[in-house]
Amino acid sequence: MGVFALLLAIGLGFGLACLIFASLLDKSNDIGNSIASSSRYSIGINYDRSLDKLKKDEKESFTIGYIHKEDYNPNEPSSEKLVDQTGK
Amino acid sequence: MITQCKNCAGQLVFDPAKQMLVCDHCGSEFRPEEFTTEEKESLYAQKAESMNDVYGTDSEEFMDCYVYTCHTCGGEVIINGSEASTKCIYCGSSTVVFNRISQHKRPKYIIPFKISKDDAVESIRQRFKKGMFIPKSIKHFEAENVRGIYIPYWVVDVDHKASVVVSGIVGSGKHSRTVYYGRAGRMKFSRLPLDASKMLSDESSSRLEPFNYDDMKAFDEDYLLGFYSNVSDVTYGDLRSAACRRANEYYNQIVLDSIKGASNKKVIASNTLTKIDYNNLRYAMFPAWFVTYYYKGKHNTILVNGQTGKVVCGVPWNKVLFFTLLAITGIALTVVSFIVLRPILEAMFTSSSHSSSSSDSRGKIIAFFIAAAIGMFTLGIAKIRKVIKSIDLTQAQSIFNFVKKRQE
Repeated sequence: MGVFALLLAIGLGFGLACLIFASLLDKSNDIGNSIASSSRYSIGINYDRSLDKLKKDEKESFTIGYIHKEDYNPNEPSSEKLVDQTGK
Repeated sequence: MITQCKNCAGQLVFDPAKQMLVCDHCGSEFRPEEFTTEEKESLYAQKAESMNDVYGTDSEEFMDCYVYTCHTCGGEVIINGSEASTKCIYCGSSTVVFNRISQHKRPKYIIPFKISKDDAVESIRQRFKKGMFIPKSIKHFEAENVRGIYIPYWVVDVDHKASVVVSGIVGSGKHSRTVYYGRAGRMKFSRLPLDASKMLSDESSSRLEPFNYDDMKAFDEDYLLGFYSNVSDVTYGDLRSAACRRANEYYNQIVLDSIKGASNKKVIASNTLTKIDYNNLRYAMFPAWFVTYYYKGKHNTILVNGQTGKVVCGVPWNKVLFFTLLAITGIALTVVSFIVLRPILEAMFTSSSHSSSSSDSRGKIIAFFIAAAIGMFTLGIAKIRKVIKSIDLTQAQSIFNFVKKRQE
C-alpha cells in the first residue's frame, strides 16, 4: 500500500512540478512567442455548414465536395515567377 | 549621395526618435518629403553588377555577390542579390541601390523606424532582467552587432475557404468518448502581412507582428538612410504557401475555440482553398532591429520590432538551475501528495463494506488516481519538450544568416 501510494505521489508530484516549471521556462526564455490576433486581419468565419456529433460516414464525407472547380482562379500567376506589384 | 544636407552637404541619416533626417555634421533636421524623387532618377539606371562579371571570374562563392558604386566616395560596395540599402565600408555612408527599388519594383509603403538602436538594446536588457532561467552572462550581454533592417513584406487580401473535421474527447474516465465536429465556411483577410524574404523564416517574421498600419507612409528612399534593407525575392508559389499556412492557422484556431465541452481538440481532416487578390498586392517595408550576441560558441539573434519595440527571441536557458529547482519542487510535491494519498488509500482498502457498488466506487477512485498520476507526468514532460522546441526555433541559424552578410 505504501509503495502504491508512493508511486502515485511521484507521478502527481513530479508531473505537477514539470507543468509548473515548463510554464516558468516558457515565460522566462521564450520571448515574444505570439502572432497577431486574427481579429486584426479578419472579422471571422462565415459558416456554410456546422455539424456536431458526426457519424462515421458523415465524418469521412464532410470535407469532400466543398471546394468546387469554379472556386479556383484560372489566371493564377506561375508559381516560379517572382512576385511583383502587377500581380501577373 | 543625392540626399545631402541642404546646409552643409553632409551625410543624412533617418533618426527614429525625431522621425526626421538628421545631418551627421551640422545637426540640421529635414523631413524626408522635402527631398524630391526627380533628383534621384538619374541613379535608377545604375545597376549592381555581378561580382563574377566585374572580375571576370566564375566562382560559386561569388554567385550571390554584386558590386555597386558608393555615391559618396565611389568605392565598391559588395551586396547580395536582394539588398536594397547598406553602408559603404570605405566612407560609412548609407548606400541605397536605387535600381532595385525603381519603377514596378518600388515599394508602395514603408513603416519608418520608431524605436532607436539604444532603445532596442535597452528594451532587450529590461526583458532579460525578468528571465528566471536566463544565464547571468546573457543578462549582461555585449551586443556583437546591432543592425536596423527594413524587411520586405507583401500585404495581401486573402479569401480562405475550408471544410474541416475536428475530433474531441467528451466526458471523463470510463465514460469518455471521441466526438467529431464538422465546420465548413469562408474567412476573408484584409491586409495580411507576408514576409517577402526567402532568407528570413516566416515563423520568425510573423512573431514580430503586429505592425500598426496607422504609421504606414508612402515609400521614400530617404527613410532607408542609416539602415539596411532587402527587396522581395519570393515567388508566387512562396506567397501562396505562406498565405495558405497563415489562413489555415487562423481558421483552425477559431474553429477549435468555438467548440465547447470537449477536450484534446484537433483538426483531423481538412480541404482548403486560399485565394490571394492579385489586383491588390501592396509591397511594403517594415522595420526590425537585429541584435546578435555570442554565447558558448554560438551566435544568437534577437529581433525587435522597429515600430512597437516587441522583443522576439529564444534565449539559452540555465539548465543546472532549472533541473535543480524542478527536482526540489518535485520531491516536495511528492512528499505532500504521499502524506495526503496514503491515508485515503489505506482507508479505502481496509473499508469493512464489501458490497459490489462500494468496490466499484473504490475501483473508480483508484483508476482516477492512476490516470491522474500518469496524465500529469506525461503532460508535464510534453510541455517541457514543447517549450524547449519553441526556444530552439527562434535561435535558428537562418535568422543569423539573414543579418550576418552585410557591410559594416
